Amino acid sequence: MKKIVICLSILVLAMTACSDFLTEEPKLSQTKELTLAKPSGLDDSAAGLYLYLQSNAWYGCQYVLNNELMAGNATNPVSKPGSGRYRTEEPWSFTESSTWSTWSMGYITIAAANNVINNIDGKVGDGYTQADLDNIKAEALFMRAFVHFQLVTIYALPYLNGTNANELGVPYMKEAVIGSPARDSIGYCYNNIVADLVEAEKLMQDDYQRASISDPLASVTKPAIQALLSRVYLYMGRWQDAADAATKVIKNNKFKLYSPADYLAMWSQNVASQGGEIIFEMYSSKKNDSWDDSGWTMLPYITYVDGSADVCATEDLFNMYEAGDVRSQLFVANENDHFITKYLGKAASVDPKENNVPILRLAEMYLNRAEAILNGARVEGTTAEKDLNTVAEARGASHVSPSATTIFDERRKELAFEGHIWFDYKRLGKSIKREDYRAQQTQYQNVQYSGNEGQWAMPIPLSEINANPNMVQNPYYDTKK
Amino acid sequence: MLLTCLLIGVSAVTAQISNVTGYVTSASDEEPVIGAAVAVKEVPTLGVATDLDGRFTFTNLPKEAKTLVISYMGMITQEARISPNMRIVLQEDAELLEDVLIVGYGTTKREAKTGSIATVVADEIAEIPASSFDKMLSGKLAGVQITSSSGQPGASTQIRIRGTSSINSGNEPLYVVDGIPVLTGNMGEFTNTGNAMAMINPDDIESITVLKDAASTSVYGSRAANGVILITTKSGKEGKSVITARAKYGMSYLANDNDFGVMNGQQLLSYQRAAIVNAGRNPDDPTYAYYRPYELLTRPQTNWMDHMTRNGQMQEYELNASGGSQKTKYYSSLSYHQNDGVYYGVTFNKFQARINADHQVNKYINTGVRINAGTMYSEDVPMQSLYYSNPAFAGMTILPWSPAYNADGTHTIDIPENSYTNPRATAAYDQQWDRQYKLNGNMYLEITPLKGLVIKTTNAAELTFEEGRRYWSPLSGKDQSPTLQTTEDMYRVLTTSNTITYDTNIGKNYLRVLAGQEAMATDYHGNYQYSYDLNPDMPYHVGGNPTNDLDYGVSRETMLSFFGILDYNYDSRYYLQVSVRKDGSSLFADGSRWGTFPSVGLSWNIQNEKFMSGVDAVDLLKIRASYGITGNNNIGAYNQYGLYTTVTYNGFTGMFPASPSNDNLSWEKNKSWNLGIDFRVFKKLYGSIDLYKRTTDDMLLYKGLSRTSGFSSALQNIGSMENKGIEFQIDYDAIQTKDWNWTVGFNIAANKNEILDLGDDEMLAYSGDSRIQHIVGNSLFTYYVKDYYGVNPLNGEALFVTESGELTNDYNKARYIEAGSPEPKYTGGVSSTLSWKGITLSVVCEFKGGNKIFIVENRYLQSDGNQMSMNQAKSALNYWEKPGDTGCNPKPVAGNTSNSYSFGTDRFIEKGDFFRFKDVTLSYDMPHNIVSKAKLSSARIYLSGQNVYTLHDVNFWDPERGIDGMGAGVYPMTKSFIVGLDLAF
Repeated sequence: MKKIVICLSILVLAMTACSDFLTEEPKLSQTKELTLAKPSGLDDSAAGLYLYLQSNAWYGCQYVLNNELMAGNATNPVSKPGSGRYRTEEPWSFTESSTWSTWSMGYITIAAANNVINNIDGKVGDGYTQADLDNIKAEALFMRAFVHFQLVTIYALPYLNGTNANELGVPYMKEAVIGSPARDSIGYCYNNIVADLVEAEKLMQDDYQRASISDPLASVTKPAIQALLSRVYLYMGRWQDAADAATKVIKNNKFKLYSPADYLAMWSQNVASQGGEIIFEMYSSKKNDSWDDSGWTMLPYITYVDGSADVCATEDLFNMYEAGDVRSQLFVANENDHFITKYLGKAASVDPKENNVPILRLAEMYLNRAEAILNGARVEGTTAEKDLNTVAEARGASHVSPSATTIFDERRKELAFEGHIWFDYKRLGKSIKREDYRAQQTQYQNVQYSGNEGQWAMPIPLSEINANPNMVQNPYYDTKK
Repeated sequence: MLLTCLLIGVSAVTAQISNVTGYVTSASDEEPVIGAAVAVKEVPTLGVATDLDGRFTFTNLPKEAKTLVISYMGMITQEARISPNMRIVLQEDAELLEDVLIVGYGTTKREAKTGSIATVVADEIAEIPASSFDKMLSGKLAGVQITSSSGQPGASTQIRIRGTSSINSGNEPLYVVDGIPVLTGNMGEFTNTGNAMAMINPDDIESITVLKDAASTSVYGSRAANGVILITTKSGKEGKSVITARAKYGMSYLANDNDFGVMNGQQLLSYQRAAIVNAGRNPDDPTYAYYRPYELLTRPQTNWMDHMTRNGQMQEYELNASGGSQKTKYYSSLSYHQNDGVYYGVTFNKFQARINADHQVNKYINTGVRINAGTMYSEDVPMQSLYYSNPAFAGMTILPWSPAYNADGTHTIDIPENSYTNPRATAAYDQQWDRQYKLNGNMYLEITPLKGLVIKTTNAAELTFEEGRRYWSPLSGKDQSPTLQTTEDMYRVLTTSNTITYDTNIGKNYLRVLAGQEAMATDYHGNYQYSYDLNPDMPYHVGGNPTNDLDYGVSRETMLSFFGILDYNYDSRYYLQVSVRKDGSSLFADGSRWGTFPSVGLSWNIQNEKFMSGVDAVDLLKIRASYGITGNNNIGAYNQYGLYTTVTYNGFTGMFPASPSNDNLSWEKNKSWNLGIDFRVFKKLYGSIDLYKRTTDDMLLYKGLSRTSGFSSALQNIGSMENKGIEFQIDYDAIQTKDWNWTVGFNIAANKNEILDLGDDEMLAYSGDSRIQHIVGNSLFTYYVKDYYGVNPLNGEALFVTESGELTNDYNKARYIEAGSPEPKYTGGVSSTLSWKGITLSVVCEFKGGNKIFIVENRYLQSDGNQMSMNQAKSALNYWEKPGDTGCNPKPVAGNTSNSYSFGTDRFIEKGDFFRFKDVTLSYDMPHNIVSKAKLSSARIYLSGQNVYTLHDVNFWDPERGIDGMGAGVYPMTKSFIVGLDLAF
């Protein structure tokens, strides 16, 4: 009988303790509420915002190579069979089920940024001052603006001095919520990008640099905000603003153009050296959680002649460099193909290789300003010719006189394989005419893509169209029409 | 005990002396009964057991001794008046052997069942040479579909009871061993063969009961939606101890009943030369990429398929002992199983020990333990996908003129066409293994304070420790950095199960009431490490290695349940069973945490009605009906929370959103109806028919979200699915004479699955392979691929069908079609057991039909010239040669890019129907008079074959390729033949 009593009391105990017994919280992750309640959690969440920059869809590979392949800087080699990847970008064979993948990674990063931005106010304490919180908030604002800028430049028509301001942009998300937002206009997107960056610039301290990270220039600093502003204004045709923002960076004595030898060495650095050209970059490491499981889908492997060798430079690009131009040394020949060597891997990295990718660097600022001045901006103490030749001379190229064409060509030479060229064509409404088609796809030889046409607004991924009833596909790619 | 008997015997010397001898035999076979308990009724402490000849002796019996009680498990206990020479014939207890069923939280008489229940008993399980018992159920139970996903020793099985009810929450039944739910599935990390069920020694199993309908399963509540398999292990029997030794030895090789194979050098060369000519090139041109001179045949040739395989070998040894007194009984076993696979590098072995003990403390209290412990080791090579290092794939594709060895006799990796990989080198120089240590133990205490009232508590612990290692050596791959991965996983499941049962007869009314409570906590933690650039002479995670990376996992899941069962019958004619269970689970948020799972079952035993009293032919005629609700909570922990997780970037550990929250997340609900009839006529022919319909609602699906939310999808309770079907099982005791005995059985079941709703979607890609889609209105799996038409008789090109129904040679213009389903329309089995004196021949066949399978490998093996660096299937030789040829492969063209060989079309989808002679066993039980001379109580020798022969039409090794029919690159099914010997002392 005693045992029965014991049994029954165990039973009763079990019943009363049941609500505690049934509450299990995760141990290796924590709830959103808990993470965002403390300044240290917000700080860590801001540090996490850079995570997906390395993903294959983004600076890991696709974002960069799509650009180069679509706009005649890159092609598939003839001398190497390749693995069959990156075969549909050159002929622009995009559909809503096979399109740029930046969308997902982009919005996931934006939502994470919004969590920081919308929860940080009033969290002073635990060793965090208002200035600390402002710096963190500025990082998140930068990331929100940066990603929206990339999305609107990929998935919408160009701004074109406001001509397309009322056309379909992308949803500009200021809150992380499960919902079905409609597309905002291109103008709305650009205005918000500028507003976020201007606020970020205001909030961030001049010398702020995130602590405890391997590569300080792989996180946002004030010059990075200014450099991105310069690019955004340039894309909008706000020439004076573009030139002024570029000037702030150029005047900052933290950065200077490299000597030819240092320029060649820059590409295999583990972390960007201070006082150099890099303003903001993607830090590549196998230890990053966004490292693709195998590494065999990343830029170094795809563009490496002894890697999968799927993508090489076009003759169109290669032939632009003069003999003494240090940038021509960044190509290696294999039979008649020229492979880019910007991403041969960090000095100590073994296969599959790690390789940082520049996102903002000083040479772009000079070229932005040269273009802005050519279009009417005025900056004390410099001219378009001076800025353009500052870059050309640093690379050992001969002197050029400034024109829309020479500045465009210099950008193409300088920023090749860094994810600029297609956007440059697009923002200027310039047609692409590609001549070099030694690859198998001869049917695409000499194809012209006229600027500012519907096919320049890349298809929104089908998964978004399916999940979001308010999402409108870009008309050129709309299969329901 | 015996000693006590002797002492009491001595103390009784002063009483009147009486000596008694006796002989106990069994009525059915007239053989002596060994180990029967013989007790004196008047002096309960006095008792002996019969010896090997069935004899017993009492000396110096006290005066009051008048009656002996003779009992033996499975026999009807008899009382007999004491006389000097006694001969006792025990009758088999038919009720015990046939008519008691193990059901949820108790037993029931077969005639009392209201649900749909199927059983397999010990004899049918033991001698099959598989590494786990789940494989032995094939073809035996109607509506229980057993699918092997691989022929690899130790691989787990996919069991579907009455179809598939879920897309994301798992479809395996709940396994309950000796009253306690256990962990199942593959618990290995690196190998395919960590089947947790392999830790149960098939010889230890007394019976397996499969609960199919909700009336029998819903008392297991939120885990019962896929059916429940109850396993009861053996208990000791009162009487003399019996020690049994068993040994088995067997060989296995790949099943290949359709003469499938790849080309030899000569065939391949002529095929490739034809392809080169078709491409308009010259095979003898040394500058051409596909230079294929006849000289290749003068080189040493390798049959790579033979080179990758060997005869598999299996051996198993077991020792068990059982016995007991009136108060204490035990069963113990120790076994060792070793199985070397058909492919080099594949090995599985296990050690296992069990002790089951029961003790009667006093009139009111019984207690006992069930403890099973063991270790299991599996080692394999990369399989289950089309890897270059997969011997099942590379064995078919490496060119016959590529040499296998280096000059120094080591395995070469200089095989450019196989990406500089050689599976033999992988098997020899790499390591890939898992070792599991398992302990399952439970202890029960059963109190019977008054007649009919039983209070029982069972408390159990299940512990699993897994250790895994995968090492890539520089010797096995070109430029391979020495790389090591290791894992250590620990699982701990603690369960307490407590019940109170009361049963009583009031006149013609029988009533049984059970109330119970259960609680369970499952803890997991795991640790994974990765290092590369190691020193190959020290292939471990050495300290200070900068490449070392660590992943840690920890989770906990709890569940609390209350349940009740009410059984009522009136006059053994009308039966009612009602059960209800309430489960609370930590997997769901506060408001949706508790679920209620009721069921009701009714049955009517017509043969017990007065109006049937004249119908002697009918021994049993029962109609059953049931309805109930069960659940499926088989999802990972913490899905209800919106989570942030740590992420590493740029040398810093930050935080990033991992999942959206869902406060409404809950279990999938499965509502099921069952209607059945059981019958037995002429005491020979018995069977049952069941009709069922079960509907899954609130199916857990990942609903795609707008990416602007920050997430790609969220797990939500949307969607529903239906299974309906019919099951028929019949057994016939055809011959039952003194020497001859023949029983035959047959079962068949048809199940129709239909997806009713997928939330917002009409079609959802199967997580395992996007060539399979879940389509509303179809059954669960539909192959959704491009429409391949066949060969163009005019020019030998492949033709496809376009959206408008026209033929085209352009793969890109081909339309998508629904090309069948891998789910069988019907499954079943036939069995026969024929015995004559001690010789028994038993045959079990299984069959399956109406399903399609997808031979993905053929994309490489019948590649029409696309894969010039791979060997081809012999069947590829049947290609278009001249205008007018049809029904053959397209003409091969070297460097073909037409996509005729694409695995995105229906070209390689075939009918998966088969009829398999699953198990054929011939055994011989030696006669007692011979055996007893060797001081044995029994001896049995047997010869058994598995997968002896399979009738099928598939152009591949074997038609069985897992539940989705897609098993590309898996270890094919094997045939095995074993000899075994059982000796009992």
